Amino acid sequence: MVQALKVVVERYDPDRSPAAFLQQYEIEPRPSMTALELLVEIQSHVDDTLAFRRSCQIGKCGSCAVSRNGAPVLACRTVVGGSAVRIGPLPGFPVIKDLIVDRQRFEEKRARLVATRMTDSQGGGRGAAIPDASIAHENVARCIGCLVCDAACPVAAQAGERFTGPALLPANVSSGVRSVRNGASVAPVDPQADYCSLCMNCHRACPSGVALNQLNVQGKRAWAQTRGLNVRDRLIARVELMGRLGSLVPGVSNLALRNALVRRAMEAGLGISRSAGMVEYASPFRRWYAGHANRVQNPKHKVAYFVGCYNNYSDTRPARDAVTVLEHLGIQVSLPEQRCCGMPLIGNGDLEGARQRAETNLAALVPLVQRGYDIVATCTSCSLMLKREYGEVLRLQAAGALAGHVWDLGEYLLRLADAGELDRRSGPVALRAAYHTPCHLRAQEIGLPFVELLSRVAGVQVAVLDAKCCGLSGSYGYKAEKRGLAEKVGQQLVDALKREAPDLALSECGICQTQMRHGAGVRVGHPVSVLRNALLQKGGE
Amino acid sequence: LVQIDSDVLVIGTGGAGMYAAVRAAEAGVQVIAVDKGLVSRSGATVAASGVAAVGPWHVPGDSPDVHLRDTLAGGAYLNDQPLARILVEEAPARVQELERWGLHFDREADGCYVLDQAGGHTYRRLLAVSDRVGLQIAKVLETRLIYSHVQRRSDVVITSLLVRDGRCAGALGVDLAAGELIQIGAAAVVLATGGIGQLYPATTNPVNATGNGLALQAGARLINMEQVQFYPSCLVYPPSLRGFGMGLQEYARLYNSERERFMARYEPEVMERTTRDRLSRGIYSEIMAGRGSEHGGVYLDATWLPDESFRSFMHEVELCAERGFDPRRQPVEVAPAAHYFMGGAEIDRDGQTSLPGLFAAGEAAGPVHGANRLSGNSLADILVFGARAGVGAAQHARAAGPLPVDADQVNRETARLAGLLQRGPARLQASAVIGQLHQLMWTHVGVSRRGGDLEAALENLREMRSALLPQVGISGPGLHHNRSLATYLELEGMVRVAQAVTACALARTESRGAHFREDYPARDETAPPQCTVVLRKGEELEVMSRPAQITEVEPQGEAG
Repeated sequence: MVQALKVVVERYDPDRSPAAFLQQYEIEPRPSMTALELLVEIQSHVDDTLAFRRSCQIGKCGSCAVSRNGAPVLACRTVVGGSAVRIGPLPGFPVIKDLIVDRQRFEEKRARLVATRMTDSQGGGRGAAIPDASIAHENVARCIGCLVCDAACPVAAQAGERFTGPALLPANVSSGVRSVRNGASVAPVDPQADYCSLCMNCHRACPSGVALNQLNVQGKRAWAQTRGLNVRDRLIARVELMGRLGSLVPGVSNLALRNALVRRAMEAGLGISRSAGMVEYASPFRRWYAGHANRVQNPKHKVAYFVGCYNNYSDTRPARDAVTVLEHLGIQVSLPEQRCCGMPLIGNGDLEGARQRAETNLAALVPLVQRGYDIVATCTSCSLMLKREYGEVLRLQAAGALAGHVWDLGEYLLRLADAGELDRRSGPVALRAAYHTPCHLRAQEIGLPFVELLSRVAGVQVAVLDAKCCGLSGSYGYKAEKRGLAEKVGQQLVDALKREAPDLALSECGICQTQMRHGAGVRVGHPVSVLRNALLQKGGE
Repeated sequence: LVQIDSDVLVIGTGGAGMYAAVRAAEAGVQVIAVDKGLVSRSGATVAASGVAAVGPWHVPGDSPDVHLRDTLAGGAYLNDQPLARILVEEAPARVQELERWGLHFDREADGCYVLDQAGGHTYRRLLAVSDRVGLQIAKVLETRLIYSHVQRRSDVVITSLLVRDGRCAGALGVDLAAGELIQIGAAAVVLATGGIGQLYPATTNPVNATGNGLALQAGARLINMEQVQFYPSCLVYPPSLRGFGMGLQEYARLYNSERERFMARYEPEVMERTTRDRLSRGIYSEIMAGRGSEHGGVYLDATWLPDESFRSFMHEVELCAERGFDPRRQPVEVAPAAHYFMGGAEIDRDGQTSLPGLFAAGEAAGPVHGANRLSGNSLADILVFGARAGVGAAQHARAAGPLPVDADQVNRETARLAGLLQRGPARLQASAVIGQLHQLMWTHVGVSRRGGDLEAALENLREMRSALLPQVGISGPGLHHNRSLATYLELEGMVRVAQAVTACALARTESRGAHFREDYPARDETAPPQCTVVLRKGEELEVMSRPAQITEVEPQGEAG
């Protein structure tokens, strides 16, 4: 007898009781049983009152989206494993009955866009739109309208009417919602597209393989083009320029940024929120690198370090520690010429600006790769750009040459550790740390390499926080009109940190760190710094 | 009971229903479209691939005439030729219209359409969007529904058509979303409820394709109900992919439980590369003879094919991979599954049935495809005849005007539905009866049939209806998303339709197209092709026949 599978279903039937309740079923598992199969089994043989949707059962109709252990999935494409599973309605939607949710908010926005922006003839000239010619039709054609992406979106969960989630864009673009502008067909874009924070959680959740990374940037760009990039967005997207200016005389910059009057003026004049924790500036890492003594003889490996704006201009310690760790392991670290990776630019709809910087970076990095260098980044947004978005979003052919050679630092070190090249006797370091996963690390689907590495260090305890996005999402949370929303999105993280009250809060992403420090008042750092201490046997943080 | 009125009511929102609704709305009448699941997502359209249309883009030599001849030969001349002519003539215009509406068909680098070859088509003439053209059609049509202000209602299960003075006057059913009974008065009704794949244990169809017998109950004539097309190689295992078409049969090898490449017995020359109906019969015979695989299929072995051969089957490979197996590396178990229904409500050129005011389109209608439907012709059909039914319904609604409903009929039906809710659970489960029905249809009214089996099946179905259905439990108390009631209502319709299918299969004493009789293994070529027609007389079915309309192409023999 096979052991029964415990299935807990989150149920709700307003006709019977105003409260939702949990019901447990025991089902005899079958090989590669899907979540949908489980539900059908319950409905047909155990409890015919269970309500859920299904139709094609092969991933094309988009009817059967639910949550599995809290995460949004398409039930027919989700194999359940283990001895227990919890199935609930699609998160973030009003529940009608059991697993049937109300799609009204999405449907209404879609109908409104069709009613207000769609025309069969010339005249739909106003408002943000994506030219038909620049749409990747084979990509959007994959959208099945299941709304799993909406459920995965941390912004939509908090934004109410302002942002129903990412589904609206592919749903409209792929279903012939068009208007005509200057004789050419364009796909109108709802203003809500600007609320996307490019956290990429939707892209990762999509069961149908829609490249939402691409489409969301196109949506933001369409919006930005229509109203013209304002001074604030131009400024805020140029993280690199701000960094260069800020780190000229860091003390003065930071004093100014901490000054309430200055912040109030920034908010009034530029729309930069005065309540967001501000990035601070430091003497650039590059200056330190130039001065440090490189002692690696006969290097085992060669890496080119992509330091990124934040670790170059603001918090340079992770960069210094990264170099120290790599060199300690006998790896030669070179610091190629580089510019901003471009993420803040695409986040503000400036595709051209991002492409320009990417081309400069590729010109420097591709020859290094050809000479046997691996590219390593401490910032997870930078590594995501280099690994994936240069090709997929910016559509730069040259990015193909980097494939397989770009590494998140943790990923790179973990690979070395697994090959036995990392000292196993590192530590001990007495530390109770809490770790927050940056969205752009999650997007890389490489697990949590630094958590894995630190868990091997004697004395280090790392709690992985159960939290979604930090909310700040690059420059997103600095915009006055989005600040309140960003705080709401990040509240789960702040609460988790306050509960955990760690000695040190860790995350690879400088923006996440800023939000963590500002929101929860905890000490923050990059996990490489803990590893550095462990390897150099210094103890403590 | 909620009462609403409209000029036109469309039941079912797959491609045919949506096209009809859009056309009717464009004609300026008020339109309501209802679906028992989510509007636009619940039909077979979303999962379909390839639309056959011979337009100005055709390959040299091709023409609507050739497309027509292929369609008729494929249909074993059981098509009404005027309908088939309309199909091939109007498909290109509908395709172009979809493109104007924002659908992007696959194109070659030079801008020409990618045209795919498919079985039974003399030339390459299927347009595609990767393997997702059906999904794109559904999405574009949904946008047109919104754009043309069609009132859309999901979760409405229609239980009967309202008839007054020999005319269709609307429909009555359960609004599961509102938790109310609903009466929709309409001067014209379009039935676009799709196929009947769910009568069989394995089907490529969506769960909603149960057949409902609405037209039969209302007194309309149904045609060629015995014609059920099976897709030869659908997975029987794992259970979550039961009925999933593997589309590889022409390239793979088939083995029975005794490791014999059994098609050698049936088609020694072409083996697996034979027509779908013959392949289905070969597989079915092996399974019925007890040489089936562990889970009731045969083994499809494609492991010897190079990986490139799977390029157009990546959705298949993906779904299998999620379940931990790889058809490129290991044999899979397959059997024929119900795929397409050539039978349905008999329609004229405007999509009108024999019941004035009732129109039908798509898989719910016939006899466009005769005794077998060619690949790509079903999407062409839903576009062409969906549009026609919409225009026809709007014209009829304008000309005939509103019709008061028959209060007696409404009272009877509402009382019946209220009565069902009183049954309560804990008696016989609907799923158990559905299981019995599946088994019966598979063994007695399946891929190959025998007179004696069909008679036994009819008897069985009669009993199922009179003795079993009244015992099936229905959980109450409310109507709000009451799946138990919805399943029961579907089961009632399934049994009704199964009776019609079986009665017609018994009446057709020849083998033609998808209908194969072991006791009459040849096509009857002594007389012009005859369509079966079935009509409800009280609680009984009356089966008749009439010649297929032959207006252009003389029927050829089986060899021809």
